[in-house]
Amino acid sequence: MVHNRLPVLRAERGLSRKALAEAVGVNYQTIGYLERGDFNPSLELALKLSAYFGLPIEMLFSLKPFTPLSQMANDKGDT
Amino acid sequence: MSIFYRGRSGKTQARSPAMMKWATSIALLAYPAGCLIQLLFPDTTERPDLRFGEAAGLILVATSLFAFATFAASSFQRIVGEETDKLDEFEMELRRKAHAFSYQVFASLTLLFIIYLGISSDLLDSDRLTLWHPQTYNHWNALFWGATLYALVLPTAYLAWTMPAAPEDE
Repeated sequence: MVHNRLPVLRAERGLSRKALAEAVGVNYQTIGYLERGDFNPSLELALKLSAYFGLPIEMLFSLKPFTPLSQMANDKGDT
Repeated sequence: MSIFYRGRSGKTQARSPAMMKWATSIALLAYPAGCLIQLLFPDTTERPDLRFGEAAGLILVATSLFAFATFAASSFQRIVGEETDKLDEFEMELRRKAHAFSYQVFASLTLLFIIYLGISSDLLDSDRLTLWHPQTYNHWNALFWGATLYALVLPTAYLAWTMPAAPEDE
């Protein structure tokens, strides 16, 4: 399974699914399926999303679950 | 093979997964049931105005066609029947899976029917057993439209039963 940070990135930028879908050329429901992990994007779509958010592809998609931001903040506070 | 009715607005009709499961099942089951009833009870009464078998069979066939009409313009039917350049990669993946599944089912049913035809024609001249086989124009006509209906509905039925629930609207 491929994990992704799309919901977080979308919320951070106040983007609707429809706006993101139009930007990368897919149906808005496809973004929902993608966020939920029901569908793994092609390399082309992954690169389009990466370019849209201006982030390296590994910041958006990973084979391992992403560490929650709250945990990262706690870990940082402990050190 | 599949068709999709795209209205003037270009929008698809919203259909719930539960409704799609019912509608596709009815479309697939009512047609052969109607044909079977017509075959088994062609005109069982002495009175020609009481054609129970024919009427009941026709009602079931009409029910099957009505069930197909309820989802001919749905988003499910769009995925299997729309022009490919109007679908995105997720929809294309679903379409490929639906068509692969329906090909397997359709090919299996066709092979089974050919085997049945072979056996029934083999027994034609024997006194051992008599099996029904299509003879009249009506028989072949019913088979043709049945095969067409299955080719159109099987991919949609696959989607209705396997597609993950749509994400909630924001």
